[in-house]
Amino acid sequence: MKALNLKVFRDLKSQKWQFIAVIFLVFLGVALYTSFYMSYLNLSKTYDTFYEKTNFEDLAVTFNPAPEELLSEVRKIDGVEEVYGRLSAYGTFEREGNKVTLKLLSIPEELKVNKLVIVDGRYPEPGERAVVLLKKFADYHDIKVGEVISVDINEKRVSLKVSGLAFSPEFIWIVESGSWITTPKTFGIAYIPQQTLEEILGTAGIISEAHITIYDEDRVEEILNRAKDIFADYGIVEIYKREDQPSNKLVKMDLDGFKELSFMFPSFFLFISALMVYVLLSRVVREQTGSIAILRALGYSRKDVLLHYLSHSIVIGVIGSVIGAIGGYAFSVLMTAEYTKLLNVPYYIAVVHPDIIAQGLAIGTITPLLAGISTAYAASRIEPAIAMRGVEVEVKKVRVDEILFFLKRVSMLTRLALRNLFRSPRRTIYSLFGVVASVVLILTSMVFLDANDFAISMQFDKITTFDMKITTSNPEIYRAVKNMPEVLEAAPIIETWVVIERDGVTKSSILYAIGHNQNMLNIYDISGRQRHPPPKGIVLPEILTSKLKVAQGEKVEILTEFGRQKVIIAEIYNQPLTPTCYADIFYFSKKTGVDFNAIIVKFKPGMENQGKNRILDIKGIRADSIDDLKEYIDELMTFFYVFISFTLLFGASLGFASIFNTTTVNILERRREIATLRMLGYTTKEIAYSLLVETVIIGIIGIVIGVPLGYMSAKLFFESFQSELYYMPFIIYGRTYAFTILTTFAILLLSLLPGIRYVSRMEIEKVTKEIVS
Amino acid sequence: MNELLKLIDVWKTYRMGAVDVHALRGIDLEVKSGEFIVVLGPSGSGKTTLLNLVGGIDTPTKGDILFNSINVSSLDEAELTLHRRRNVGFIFQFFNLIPTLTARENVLLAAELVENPRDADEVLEIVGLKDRADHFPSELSGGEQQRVAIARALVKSPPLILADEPTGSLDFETGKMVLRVMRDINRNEGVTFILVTHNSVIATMADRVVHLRDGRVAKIIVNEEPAEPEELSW
Ligand SMILES: Nc1ncnc2c1ncn2[C@@H]1O[C@H](COP(=O)(O)OP(=O)(O)OP(=O)(O)O)[C@@H](O)[C@H]1O
Ligand SMILES: [Mg+2]
Repeated sequence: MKALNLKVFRDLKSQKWQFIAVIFLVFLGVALYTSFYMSYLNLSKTYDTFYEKTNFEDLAVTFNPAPEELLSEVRKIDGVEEVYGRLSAYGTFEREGNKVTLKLLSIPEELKVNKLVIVDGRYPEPGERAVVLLKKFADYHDIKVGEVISVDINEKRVSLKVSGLAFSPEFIWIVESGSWITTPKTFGIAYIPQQTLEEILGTAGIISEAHITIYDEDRVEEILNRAKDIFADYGIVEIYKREDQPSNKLVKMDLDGFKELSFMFPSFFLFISALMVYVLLSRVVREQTGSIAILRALGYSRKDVLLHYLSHSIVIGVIGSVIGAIGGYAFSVLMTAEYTKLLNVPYYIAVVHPDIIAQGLAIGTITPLLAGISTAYAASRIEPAIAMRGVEVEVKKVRVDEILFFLKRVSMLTRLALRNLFRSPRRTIYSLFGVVASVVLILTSMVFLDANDFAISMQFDKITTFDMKITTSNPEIYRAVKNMPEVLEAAPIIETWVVIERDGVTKSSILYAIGHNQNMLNIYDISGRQRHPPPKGIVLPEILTSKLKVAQGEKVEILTEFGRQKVIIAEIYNQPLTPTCYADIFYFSKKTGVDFNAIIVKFKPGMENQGKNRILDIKGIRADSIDDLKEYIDELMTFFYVFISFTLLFGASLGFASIFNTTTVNILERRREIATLRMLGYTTKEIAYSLLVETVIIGIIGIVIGVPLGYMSAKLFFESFQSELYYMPFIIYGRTYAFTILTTFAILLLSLLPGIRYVSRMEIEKVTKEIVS
Repeated sequence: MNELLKLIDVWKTYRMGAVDVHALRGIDLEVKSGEFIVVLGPSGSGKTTLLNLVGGIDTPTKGDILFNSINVSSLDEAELTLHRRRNVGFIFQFFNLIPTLTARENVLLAAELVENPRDADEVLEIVGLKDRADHFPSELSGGEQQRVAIARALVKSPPLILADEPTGSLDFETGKMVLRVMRDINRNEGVTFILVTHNSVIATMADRVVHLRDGRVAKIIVNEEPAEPEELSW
């Protein structure tokens, strides 16, 4: 068997590029599977240990200020483990000329729920004028432990010492419930001793939030309802279980993404690698039919031959999956590390998961083995007598060009290309698979770019075109802002959380009450049509009404910052991005007795910075700039762009590897014919043209099949990411189709080059000798 | 008869690692238009090498090959391709037909290379295959395939046809039939033939026989009365 083993490596070497291409696909399949799955496990484990260590809440209730004593009633509920009651307030402080908003959350002497992981400094003493800041927020503003910041709270300036920096399980992603992600540039969380905050606010024994852990999972709904009842008299603002906790919700959504990708991606690559193994091996066997017969005539057994050809598959599988597993591990560590950089977590866990590595190795080895079995078996069935008779290569006699009348007049060279497509239809179909898979991958990744671009331009060019939002209900400030020289337009709005209840089902959302005569905050429906607030009643997104089972014209009770109101549902339609409730500001003011609670502002062109600074100078307000938000979104998107670039690259290499393999295999197999063409006087160019026709036809068919398939796959994939939080119409821009098609052709042409080079370098006199001898 | 081909001191040396293999060692030869030449020699004497040089699929190491006074040995790749296209028809021992094309299409494949090709059906008729034109190579016998190859060489109406062991893989009777076709074409159309073989019987039908030995022309024999293919026996 020794010489035979040597032959395995000679065979691999003689077609090293083809084998390398297949090994590369196996490598990618295994690497992607192991890296995504291990990243998923790593992140899962990171969150779980973080949550466990900090005793992350199982449910939470937010209500209008209520006496602290109510907490002991919550503690008495059967199944409740711990309760953390707190008070919150907003403050602002100045940092490098920018006004930064702080959300102050009170903490007791010892936290038992949503504990903080202090990474620098210490927990503040009761009554101490000190705060603990979230680590990343402090880092962003370069605030060090021991530093004193002056915070304006309720028109009062207080000096607070930063006693420590921490991470909190509540704020892995910093989102204000229902609202957008906030940028650390303008928004941060600060934990402050309860006593201190009470002193500042001048209150005592009053809280507005209860965060609860339970020890009986099965009774979560019951406990939730009982907790709600306890605070019901004061007015419930918000209520959620752990799975709906804003930060956790986003965390889990991303986690699901990782898991999904770990199956979707690798299956593409392994599937195509299996087809390529089949193509390669069947060519090797076909070409070596004579040698196999001789081996058999010499006395090698069928089993020897079978094992001999299977070992080709094994070599591919083992090399590909070993490198893949190593690469996958490295990649999972990198991905976990890079991804957690975006998050507020104190550490990340990146370990080897031997079971996943073993699965990766197994899948990577078994796939090419299965793909090679039928061919190896066929090889083992070759009769020794063939060695004496010689081989007859069977060729399919399909004359497509005769059937299709318009092809009757094309040149023989073109016809040759057409016929070659039908020569080994199975192989043609396999390269088609490669092109289709590549188109699907490219299109799907591009669709995510489209979605992102669409969302950004929808949000910032259409829905919110204001430059700044000021949170205030002071009419003097409104008047002052309106008269500022930099201000082009200013309009009051009412912005509030809203809870809609119907037959025991509650849904929470955001409500904007806006005026008719402004175009800085606009309403659009899913079809992109601009809508206006109804003069009477409110607009509800369909995504909510379908869950609440309410219809247009019905009256519902809503709960907002301003208490309970009965309102008519004037219209029902979804809006893109964040589904939101709308009302006319006059209507809503009349209902609630509140004129406005925020002002949106647009500056005159070129005066944005001046205007922004002038507004930030106003005392006692919170002001958010859209530009800052945009900037932060761009930052977050970097990871996303890197990710998309990789998927594009993978998609492209998939197409390249498969087309490269089939074309070169085809050329090698037909080198005798090609030499004949050259002897007849055909130039390399003309032969390249014929190969090109063949490839382009495969490309066109691949695109025709791949684009709709990619559309469907993107749509499916896309819909799996839809949620109540975020509603996104499925959009594919024309540029995406163009890019996909052009890239596919570029890949096809590129993968043809080595083959063409081979043809042009072919020493015809040697090939003819080969023929003659 | 005017001179078609002239070889002057043609050498071909292959470098095999450290050793030089001299396939041809100074060939001098003149071929007149319309001649039927048989090159005879033992295996390894350089016959195929000689044909390849004349046909322009390989270049000599030294010496000149003049075809209609054009020096083939100084042509570049593109010019050599043109030379093959216009001046030469090849016939191989293993017919080398394109398996996916029918007999007629194989002929057309060559016809499309030149400006004024002969009619494909006409040349197929000449080689006696008019009624098999729509068959694929795998549906033809060895002799028939070789005749398609001859038709393919003929359709470009080249002044010179080079045949390397054209009867090598054919049986005796079929071989004679193929030789008959070639001789007829040579006589009727005035096409010059250089036919390479190691079968000395075939040499008797040639106008002239060039004997090669160790890459040199050992002797040239002129047949005053060439035999007809039918008279051959081996
Ligand atoms: N590409 C090559 N590299 C090295 N040596 C070569 C090459 N081609 C031919 N030769 C050598 O040149 C010599 C002549 O070869 P050629 O093929 O012309 O012989 P031939 O007369 O056609 O023989 P046969 O009757 O067996 O076909 C031989 O010794 C051969 O080994
Ligand atoms: Mg020879």
